Amino acid sequence: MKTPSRFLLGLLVVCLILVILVHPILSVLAQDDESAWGEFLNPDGSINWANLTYLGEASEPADWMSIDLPGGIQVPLGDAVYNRYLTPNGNVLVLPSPVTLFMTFLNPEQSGFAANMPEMLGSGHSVLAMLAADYVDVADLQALGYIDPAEFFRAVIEGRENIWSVVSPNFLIELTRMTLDAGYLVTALWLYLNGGDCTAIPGGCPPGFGLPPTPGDSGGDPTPQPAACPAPSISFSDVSATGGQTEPLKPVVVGQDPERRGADVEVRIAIPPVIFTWYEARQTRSCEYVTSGTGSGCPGPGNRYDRVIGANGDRTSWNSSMENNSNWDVDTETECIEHVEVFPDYLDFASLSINLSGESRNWILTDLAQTYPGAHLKRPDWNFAFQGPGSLGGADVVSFFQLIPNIQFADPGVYTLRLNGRTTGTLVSSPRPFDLPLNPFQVDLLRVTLIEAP
Amino acid sequence: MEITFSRRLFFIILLLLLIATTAALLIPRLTGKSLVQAVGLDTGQSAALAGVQAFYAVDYTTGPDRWAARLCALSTQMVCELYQNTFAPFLWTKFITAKTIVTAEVTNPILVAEPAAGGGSDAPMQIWQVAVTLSAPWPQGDGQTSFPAHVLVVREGEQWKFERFLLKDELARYSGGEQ
Repeated sequence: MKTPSRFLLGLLVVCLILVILVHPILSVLAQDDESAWGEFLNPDGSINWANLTYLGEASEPADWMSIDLPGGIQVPLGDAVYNRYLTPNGNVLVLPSPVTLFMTFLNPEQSGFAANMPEMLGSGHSVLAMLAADYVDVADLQALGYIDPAEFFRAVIEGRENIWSVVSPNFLIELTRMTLDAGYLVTALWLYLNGGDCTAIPGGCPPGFGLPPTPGDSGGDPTPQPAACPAPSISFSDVSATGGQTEPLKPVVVGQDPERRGADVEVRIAIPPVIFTWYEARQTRSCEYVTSGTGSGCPGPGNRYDRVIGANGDRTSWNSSMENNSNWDVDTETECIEHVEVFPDYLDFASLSINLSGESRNWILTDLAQTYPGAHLKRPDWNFAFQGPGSLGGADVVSFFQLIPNIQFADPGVYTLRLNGRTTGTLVSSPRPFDLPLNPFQVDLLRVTLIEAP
Repeated sequence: MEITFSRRLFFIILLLLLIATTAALLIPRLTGKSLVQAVGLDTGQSAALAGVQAFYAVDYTTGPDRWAARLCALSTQMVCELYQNTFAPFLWTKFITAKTIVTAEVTNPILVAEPAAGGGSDAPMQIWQVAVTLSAPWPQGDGQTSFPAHVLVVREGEQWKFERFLLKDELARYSGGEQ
C-alpha cells in the first residue's frame, strides 16, 4: 500500500508543479514584455543565459542552516551558497543551492528572506513541494488531515506544520547530495528588482562590481553609464567518446560460443568543462583640474573620488572649493577586468546503439540463407542506456566509463556503434546533446569447409 | 597410516598460527582502513553502535582527517563527504583549541523504526536509539556526558552503513520502540 501511494504522490505533485505550474509560468513570463522575467526568459520558458551576466558564487556562514545533534551540539549543514546573475536592466537573479533554498524556507525570518522578499516563480510552498514531494508519503499527510499535498507544504511555509514530521529520513542527505552534485534547480529562482543595493542581495555583490545605480539615487552626480565591456561569453570543446568492442579479440556468434563468452563493449565519454568569461566593469572616478575653465565642478563628499588630480598633474586632496568650480571636473573611466570561470558539465544520460550493418543484414538474408536455408536475423539491434553523472577529473573534464560485458551477439557481421546522450548543463549553460559514432567491430561466423584429402 | 610430527615442527606450526591470528586482529585496528571488516557491520545495530562511537570519540592529537576517515569507513559515500568537508572543519577548530580527548561508550541499542526510503530508493533503513556516555563533554555541547541518540542506518549492498543522527523534530514521528 505504501509504495503505490508514495509513487502516486511523487508523480502527481512533481508533474503538477513542473508541467502545469512552473513551465507555463516561465513561458507566460517570457512572453510578457512588461515582466522583469521577460528579459532573460526565452519564449519557450527556458533561460537565455546569454542575457545574464554571471556575478559569481557567494558563500556565507549561516547559523540558521545548522542542525542540532544529541548532546546539545550544533553543526552547520554547510554555508549558504548562492549563484547570482545580473539582468540587462540591473535586476539580480539569485539561484540558491538546494540546501540553502530548503533551509531558507524553513527559517524565513532568521535567514533574512522574509525581510527582503524577492520575486519568485511560483510560490515558496510549490518550490518546497518540488524538493520534498518525492520523500513524503500521502498516507502520512492524510493522517494529519491533508488531502491536497500543496496545502501541507503551504502550512509548512506558514509555520503551522513541521516538515520533519512526515518527510522520509533520507531526504536530508539527498538534499545535500543535490547541492554537492551542483544540481541546482533552475526553476527555483529569486529575482531581486532594482538590485543596485548590494546589501539586499543574498551574498552581496562581488568586490568592485559596479551595479547600475537605483533610480533616484544618483545624488545629483552625473550618472555613469554601464561600462562598454565585452559581453559575457561561453566556450567549450565538444563532448568526445571512445570505445568499442574490446574482448575477445575475435568474437563469434553465440551459437558457436560454447562457453557463452560473448563480446565486451566499453564506452568512455569525456565532457570538457564550460568556460565562462565575463567582464567586471570597474569604474574609477577622478576629480581633475581643467585649464579651459569649462568644468562642472567636483561635488562632495571627497571620498567618492578615487583620485584628485591638481593643476600640475600631481595628486592632491579634495576640498569644498572644488564644488561648483568650473576649473574642476569629474572624469569617470571604466576598466574592464576579465574573469574566467570553469564549470564542469556532468553526464545526464547516454544511450549506446549497436546495430548490425545493412550489408551484413543483406548478406545473412541472401548469401548465408542460400548456404544455410532458414538463416535469418535473430537480434541485429542492441541498445544500452546509462545514467550519469560521471566523475570529475583533471582540467575539470568529466569522464564516464561503462563496460558492457558478455553481449550475446547471435547475428554475424559488422556492427556499427552510435552513442548519444545529453549533459546536465551548468549554471551558465544549457544541457549539451551529443551524438557520436564509435569504431565498428565484427562478429564472426565459423564455417566448416570439407577439403578432399590429396 | 601413521603421521609423525617432531616436537620442534609442532611448535613452529603453533607459533606461525599465533602470529597469523595476531596479525589478522591487529592490522585492521592499526591501519584504520578495514574498520568495516573488523567490526563486521552486517546488521543495522552494529552500524549504529560503531557509527555513534566513531562520531563521539575524539582525540585532538590525531587530527580531523583520521576522525573523518573512521566515520567514512562506516558511512555511505555521500555522508562521508558531509563529515569530511563540512562537519570536520567546523568541529575540529574547537577540538584543537580545547585540546579535546573524549572516549565514548555506546550501549542499549533499541530498534525504533524501519522507515521506507523516499525518492525512488528502496534501500532498507532502520532507526536505532542508543545510549551515549562520554568520558568528558564536547566543547561545543551543552555539558552533558550521558544522553540518548537516535541514528539512521542504511543498507548498502550486503552491509549496513551509519547515515546520520535524527533531528529533534524528526523524533516526534518515532515515539516508542521495540527492544
